[in-house]
Amino acid sequence: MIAEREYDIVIVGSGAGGGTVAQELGELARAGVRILVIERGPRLLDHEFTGREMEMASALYEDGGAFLTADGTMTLAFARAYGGSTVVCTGTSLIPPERVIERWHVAGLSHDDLERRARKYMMQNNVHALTADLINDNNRLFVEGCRRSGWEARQFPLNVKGCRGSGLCNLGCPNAAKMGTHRVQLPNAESQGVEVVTRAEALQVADRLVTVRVSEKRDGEQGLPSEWVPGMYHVRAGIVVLAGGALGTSALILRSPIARAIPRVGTRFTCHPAQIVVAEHERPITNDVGHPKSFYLDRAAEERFVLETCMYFPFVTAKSMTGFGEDHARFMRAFPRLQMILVLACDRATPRNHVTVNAAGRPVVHYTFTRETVDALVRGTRAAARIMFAAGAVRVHAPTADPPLIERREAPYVDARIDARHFLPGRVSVTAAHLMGGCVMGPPHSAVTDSFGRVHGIPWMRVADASLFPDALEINPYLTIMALADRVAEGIRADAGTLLRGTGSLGRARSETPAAVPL
Amino acid sequence: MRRTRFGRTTRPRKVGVASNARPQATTHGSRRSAWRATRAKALAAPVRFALPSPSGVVPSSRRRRRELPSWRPLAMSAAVLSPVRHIIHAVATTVVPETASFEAHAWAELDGAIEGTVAQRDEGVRRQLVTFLRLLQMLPIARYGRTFTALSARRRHAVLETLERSPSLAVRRGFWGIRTLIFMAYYTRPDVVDRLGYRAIARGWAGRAELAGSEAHTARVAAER
Repeated sequence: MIAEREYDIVIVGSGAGGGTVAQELGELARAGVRILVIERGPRLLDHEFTGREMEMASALYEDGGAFLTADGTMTLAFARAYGGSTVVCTGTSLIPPERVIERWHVAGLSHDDLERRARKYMMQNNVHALTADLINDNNRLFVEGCRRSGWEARQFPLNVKGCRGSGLCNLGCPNAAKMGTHRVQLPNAESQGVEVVTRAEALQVADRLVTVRVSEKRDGEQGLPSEWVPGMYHVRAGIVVLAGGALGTSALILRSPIARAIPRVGTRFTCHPAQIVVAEHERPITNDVGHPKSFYLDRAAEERFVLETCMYFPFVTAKSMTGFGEDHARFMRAFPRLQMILVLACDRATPRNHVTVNAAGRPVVHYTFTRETVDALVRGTRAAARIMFAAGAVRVHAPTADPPLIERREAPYVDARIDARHFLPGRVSVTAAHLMGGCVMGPPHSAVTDSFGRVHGIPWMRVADASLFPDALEINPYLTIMALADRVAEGIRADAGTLLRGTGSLGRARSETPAAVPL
Repeated sequence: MRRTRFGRTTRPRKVGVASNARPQATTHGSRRSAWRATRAKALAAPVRFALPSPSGVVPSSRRRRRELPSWRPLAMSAAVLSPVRHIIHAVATTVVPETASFEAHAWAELDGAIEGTVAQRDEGVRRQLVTFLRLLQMLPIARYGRTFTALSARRRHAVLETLERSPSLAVRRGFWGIRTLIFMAYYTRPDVVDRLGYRAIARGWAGRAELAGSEAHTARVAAER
């Protein structure tokens, strides 16, 4: 049996996009409009962020953090939880670059508008730069190495409040210090009357109808049980907002009957493929304490790569390095002396990189590394190695070098040692966490939505996540997603009077509220 | 093609899943050619995600698709790794040499961690892993006259390096997969993490200061003794 539920507005996803839309529609909720947020993942309590690598990866990440592209050559890391990927990101919050927004060339979308909206959320999320006393050696060595190499590293503004420097950001902050949507926008929305149901997966979307499966909490699993009784639901709404991320939103549409009416869904996928460069220093440094990602070097415009400081956990570090055996193990045993830099390539949308679904309706990402992307990774890796040697490293592990370990005496030959011919997919580890595209903004003949996230030809459907991006953003997408979601909410407020006429609070009788699940 | 009550056309979800997906022999080609053509067409077709109908009644077309054909093998459980466990151990001692000093309980924990992870993957992935390990065991016979588990540590390393650099993406992926599983099972062990010196804790800077003070105190006590 399938239970029927009726709302005025349904938002699928509770991350940077869905959480922002939910908050911005709070005034409608206060006026009696019934708004529901559907989130596939669990709602964790503060004490459940334990910082244990495997436990939190299983609880928060899709496929435990091991979601692979179709050919298995790249790992995609994204979360499914109350708050989405904002629960596991490092909180870097950057204004979108003007040159990228201009290149996107989306009618009605201006950089000034996005910047204004982004700054609103920087205020809400307490975004600021950490003081010098909270910067660890891993970051300090990066700044010093950049300076000696002739570059100027910039400091990341971070959405933190009361950061204690646990270094466990990517496993969910154990100190409730990360101001993601689970701490700011969603609680704001719920306080204004927006309803959130967790462990609820949107299976299909039809004409103003979302089919939802609510799962029960398994024994030993973290997080609260769902707010609804487990089972199948038909949720009807006057407006449906899709904010499940580049993969979630694209897959939801593709496995729904409505896909026939929306061409080009799943196309123009980009993701900033990334590799980790690891260096060993002579003495122990503070790397596993302090915020892991405080500085960056932006070479996107000139060389199509960005370098970010980072610090990963033992297993992630081990699998990210090329090779095995005694050399690999000896490098791992130097963990307290390791410095890490994340190299991100600014890829471009190509026809070969797209999202489809398999027979079970799960997203499948088809991604081929272009020559330009590989070259960007190589250039970034060379720059990272030079920075690390300039900072005093005794040896550097570079994935695109063979053998991957480069000794200090070889520092002058970094360009020869690190080369694209050593980039062997399936041998080198490549990861991506900035998943973009799939429901891009643009004109009706070549895109899926307009600049307010309205799906062309389907006025009741909106998209409010990174799938809107027509091409790679070249920086962390967090704040840009929130700014675009703010526009989507503005469009909904403008259209609500027309679209909700005859539904919910504006006309039609509503069904009774479902019985609450005892917690 | 039949239309269901929700307007969807019925197509074979996976080639070979339903018996009615098998093509008949044609006069213009072999049965295999017709089969390949049908498979290519099915793979190119947009996939429809099947849901139970609101009325609870399953249309007859979907009932037919749910029936498993006789050739489909039974589902594989994680315990299927038992016959290849000795190969996993041999790979582990090569990938992470420290595991050579593992005692029985540590091996049992490594096996449990790998099997627990593999159990969460679908049947196809588990099957690929077992097949890869069995092929790995046989591969060195042509060159060294011995199976993988019978080789010396140096030769095992050479064999795995060959796989890591294989011109075949499938082989490289297979090695990357088993290497990742072994790294996961080893580098998430609390005793290993402690030995590496990784000490991230929730209390962050304050916790590190406490730890430094505690270590300094311990060192002073040891020196006085």
